[in-house]
Amino acid sequence: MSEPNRLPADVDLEKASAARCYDYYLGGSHNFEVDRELAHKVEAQVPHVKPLAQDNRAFLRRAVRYCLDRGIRQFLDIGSGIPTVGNVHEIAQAVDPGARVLYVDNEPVAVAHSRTLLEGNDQAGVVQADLQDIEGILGSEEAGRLLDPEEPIAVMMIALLHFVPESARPREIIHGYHERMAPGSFLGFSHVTSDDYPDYARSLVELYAGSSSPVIVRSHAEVADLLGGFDLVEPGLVYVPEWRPDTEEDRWQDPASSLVYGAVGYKV
Amino acid sequence: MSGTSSEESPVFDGERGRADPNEVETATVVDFARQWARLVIGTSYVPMARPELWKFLEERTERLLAALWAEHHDDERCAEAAVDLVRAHIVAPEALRRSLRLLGSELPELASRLAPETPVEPGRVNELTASFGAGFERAAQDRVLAEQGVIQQAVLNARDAAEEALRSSEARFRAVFTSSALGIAIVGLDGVLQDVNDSMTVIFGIPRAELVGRDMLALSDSRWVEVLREADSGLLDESTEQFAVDTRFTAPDERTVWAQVSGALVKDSEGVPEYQVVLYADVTDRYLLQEELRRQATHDPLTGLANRTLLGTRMDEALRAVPADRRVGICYLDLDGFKTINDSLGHPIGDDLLREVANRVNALATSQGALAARMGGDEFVVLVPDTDGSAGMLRLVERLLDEIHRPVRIGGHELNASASAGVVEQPVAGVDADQLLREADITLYRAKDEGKAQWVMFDAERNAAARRRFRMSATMPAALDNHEFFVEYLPIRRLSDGSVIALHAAVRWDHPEYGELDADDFVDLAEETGVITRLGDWLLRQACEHASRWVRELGADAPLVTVDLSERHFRDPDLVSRFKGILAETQLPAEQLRLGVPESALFDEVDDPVDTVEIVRELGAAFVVRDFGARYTGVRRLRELPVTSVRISGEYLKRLSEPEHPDPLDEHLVGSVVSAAHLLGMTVLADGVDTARQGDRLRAMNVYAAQGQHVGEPVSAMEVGELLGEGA
Repeated sequence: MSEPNRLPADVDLEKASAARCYDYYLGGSHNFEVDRELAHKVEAQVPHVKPLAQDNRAFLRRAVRYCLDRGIRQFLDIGSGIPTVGNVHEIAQAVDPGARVLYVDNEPVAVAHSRTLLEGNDQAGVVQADLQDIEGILGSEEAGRLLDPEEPIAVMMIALLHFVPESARPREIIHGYHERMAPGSFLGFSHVTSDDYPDYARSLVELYAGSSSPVIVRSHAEVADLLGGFDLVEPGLVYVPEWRPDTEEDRWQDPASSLVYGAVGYKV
Repeated sequence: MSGTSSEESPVFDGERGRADPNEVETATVVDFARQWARLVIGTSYVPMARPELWKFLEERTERLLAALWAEHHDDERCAEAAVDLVRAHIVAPEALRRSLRLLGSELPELASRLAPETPVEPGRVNELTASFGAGFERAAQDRVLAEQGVIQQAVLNARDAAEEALRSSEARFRAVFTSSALGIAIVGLDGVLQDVNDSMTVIFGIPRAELVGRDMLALSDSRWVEVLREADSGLLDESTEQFAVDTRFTAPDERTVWAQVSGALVKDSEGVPEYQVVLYADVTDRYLLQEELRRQATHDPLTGLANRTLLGTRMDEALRAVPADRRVGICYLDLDGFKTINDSLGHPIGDDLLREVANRVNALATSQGALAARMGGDEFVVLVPDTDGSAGMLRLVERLLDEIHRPVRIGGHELNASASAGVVEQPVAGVDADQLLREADITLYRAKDEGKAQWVMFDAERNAAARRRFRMSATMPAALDNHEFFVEYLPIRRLSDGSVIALHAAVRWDHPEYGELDADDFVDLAEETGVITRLGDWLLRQACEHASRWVRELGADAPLVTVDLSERHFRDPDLVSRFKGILAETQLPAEQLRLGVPESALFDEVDDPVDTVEIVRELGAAFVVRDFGARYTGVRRLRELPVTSVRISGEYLKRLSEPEHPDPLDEHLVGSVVSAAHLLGMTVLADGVDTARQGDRLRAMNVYAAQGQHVGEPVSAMEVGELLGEGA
C-alpha cells in the first residue's frame, strides 16, 4: 500500500505490537496476551516503563497545547498507534472544535482502531502508511480533506523515529516533511536515548528486537542532528519531564531516567 | 494487570512535594485533592495537566464529603465518583488501592475538620469506601471489556481490509495476467519461470508446460544473455527497482522474437523479496520495421544490394588516405546482352536474373570484405577497400565474372549470363570517389568494345602485358598439376670436334592459350610469385631422372646435364635437402650434374660463398656460372669454388654472326672473358650460337663449347638417345 511491489500486509497477532504495548503502559486494555507478555518482560528490566510511557504521552499533550497556543489548528500525528486516551484530536478539539487532525500509522490494527474511534468525527481521519511515504500521506484523500498545505501545521512524531533505522535515512525523511510544511509550522518530536541509562536502553532494544517494531536508540547529538532543519523552541531538546512541565511537581528528580528526549521544532 | 507503585520506584519521583504530616490540620479540600492526584498519577495515563486533575479531584472530594454528611448512605453517589475516575482514565487497581486508603484514613478527618458540627457516623466511611470500590471495579471492568471489544473489532476489521486488499490485488493481477497481450511471467528469485500467461506461449511459440521451469535467461539468444543477467541481478540485489532491456530470441520455429523485457521485484509485507514479475512486450514488428526502413534508405529494393548512397558512404571510408599507402579497387560490371534477355523473355525474367546475379556477386564480394552495389539497370559496382595490388584485385574480378557466367535457371530457362568489367586498382591518395567510378565506367566501355565477357584494367598501356602476366602467374600452379610443363634438352657441343659433351635441360610451357612458351617468358613471373620453387624442383627432378636413365643406358658415355636454377630457387633454404632427396630417389651420380646459376647467387651480401655451394661440392656436383663477367669483383674467388665452366651469352655474341669483320670490341669482350676463365681453370660455353659463322669465330677465340640452333635443335628426353647415337 505504502510501497509499490509490496504484498498487502496481513494482520499478524503472533508478534507483539509496540503500539499495543504502549497502550498497556498507559493503562489501556487495547492489547493482547502476546503484547502483555512483552510488556511484562520490559517492566522486569525497566520497572518504571509505565510512568515513562505516560510521561511521554504527557509530553505529547503539552506539545499539542503549545502548538494550539501558537495558533496551530491542523495536526498530522504520525505513528499515532492505538489511541487509548489523550489523543491529539481530543486535546485540540477541546481547545477549538474546528481543529483538524490526520492520524497516520502503518499498522493495520492501529488504523482500524483509530477508524472506529473517529467514527462521526469529520474533523479527524486516519491513513495507513509508512512514515517515509510522504507523498502517499500528504497526497491521500484524507489529507486533501483535512489539511491545508498553505497553512502552518503541527507534525507530531512522538516516540516514532526510534523505530526508524539509519538505513531508512531518517534525516532525509524529516527533511522531506520540513520542505512541505508551511512557514510557521511545528514539529513535535520525542525519541528514546541510551545517553544516561544505557542498560535500560539496551533492554528496550533487545526486548523489542522480536516485535513488529525493533527499536534503535540515538544519542542527544544524533537526535539533535535529525532535527537539524528546525529551530527548537525553549527549552530545546531535553528529557521530556523537563520540557515545559505543567507544574513544578511534574519535574522528575532524575529527568534522565525518563530515557526519552523531547523537543518542539519551529519552521521559520 | 500488574501495577507499578510509584512509591517503590527508585527513580520515578511522582510524589515530590508530598504534604508535610505536621500540616495535616491545615488540610483543606484543595490539599486533599492534590495528595489524591499525587497518589494516582503514574498508575495510568490521565489525559489532564496536573492542575486540571486537582480541580477534577476537588469536585469528587466535595461530592464524597457530601455523601458522608448525608443522612443516609447513598451507594449510587459514592460509586458515581469512582466511575468518574475510571472515565478520566484513572483505571489501575493500584490507583483504587491508594484511593481507598486515602479516603478511609483521611476523608473522615477532613469532614470533621470542615464541619465539626456534623459528626460522621461510625461505619459510614466503610460503606462509602465499599461503594466507591465496587463502583470503580465495575466501571474498570466495563472499560476493559469495552476496550477489548474495540481492539478485537479493530483486528477483525484490519483482517478484513487486508484480506480484501489481498483479494482485490490478486483479482486485479489475475485479470491482468490472463487478459494481457503482454507476456507475463512469475519468476522465482532463482530465475526460474514459475508461471506464465497465455501471451507468453504466443510470443515465444513454446507451450506453457515447457516454459514453466525454464530459466528466464534461456528466453534470449546468447548475445543478449549478459545484458539480461546484469539487469536482473541489479533488481535482485535491490540496487535498482526495476529494469527494462530489449532482447532477441530465436523461437523453435526459427522466428526471430524481439522482446522488451521489464522486471520488478515483489516483496512480502515485511519487505523480504518473494518473487519477480517479468513482462515481455513483443516488439518484433517495430524492430523489423526499423531495420527495413534503415535498409530501404541504403539498399536497392530489387536486389537488396547497397544503393548509390551506401556505396558513396563506403567509398568515402575506403578512400580515406590513412594509412598513406592504402589502395582501393573498383570493379564496374555490366551484364552482356541484358537488353536482349529483357526484350525476349520479359521483364519479370530479367528481374529474376538481376536478383540472381546480385546474390552471386554479393556473396562473393561479402566473403572478400568487399561491397557490392547496384548502380541501376544491369550495372553493378564492387568496391574493394585496401587492395594489395592489381593481381589480387584481378583475381577477384575473374571470380566475379566466373560467378556471373555460371548458368542460371529461371522459370524453365537456363540462361548463360556474362558480364564485362572495368577495373581500377590504385593508391587512394589523390583520388575521389566520382573520379574513380568514372574511370571504372570508361574502362568498362572499353571492355565492351573489345569483345565483352572480359575485364579491362584501367591503365590501357600496361593492360595487355599485365593481363597476360596475371593469367600466367595465376594459372602456373594449376599448369604444374596439369603437366603443361615439359623439359627439352639442348645439345652442347664441343666446338673443336662437334661432339655432344652435355645436354642443357630447358623448361617449356605448353600453354593452352598462348602456345609453347620459353622459360624466358615465364621464369621471371614465377620468380615474382614464388611458384619458382615448385617449378625449379620439378625441373631438377625431371633432369635428374632423365640423366640417371642415360647413365644406366649409356654408362660412361652418358652426357653431363646442365640445369639452370633461378637465384630465388637457389637461395631457398630448403633446396639442399630437397636436392639430396632428388639425387637419392633418382640415383643419379651428382657428378653428372652441372647447376647453372648466376654468379651473384653464389655469394652472400658480404661476398662469402653461400653454404649451398659447399654442400653441392660435397655431393659431387659442380656449377656453371651463367652470367660470367657481369661483375668482376668476386671473380677471383670463383677459383675456390666447384665451378667447372662459365657460360656466356648476349648481344655481343649475336653480332659475331654478322658477315663483316667482327666488331673489335666484341672480340675483345669475348677474348677477355675466355682468358679470365682460363686463368681460373674453367672452360667457356657460349649460348645462343645460331650460325656456323658464330661457331667458327668463337672456336677461333678458344671458346670450348656451344649451344644454340647451329649446334642443334632442342630434343625431348626420348630423342636424346637418337641424338647421341647420331653424333657417335
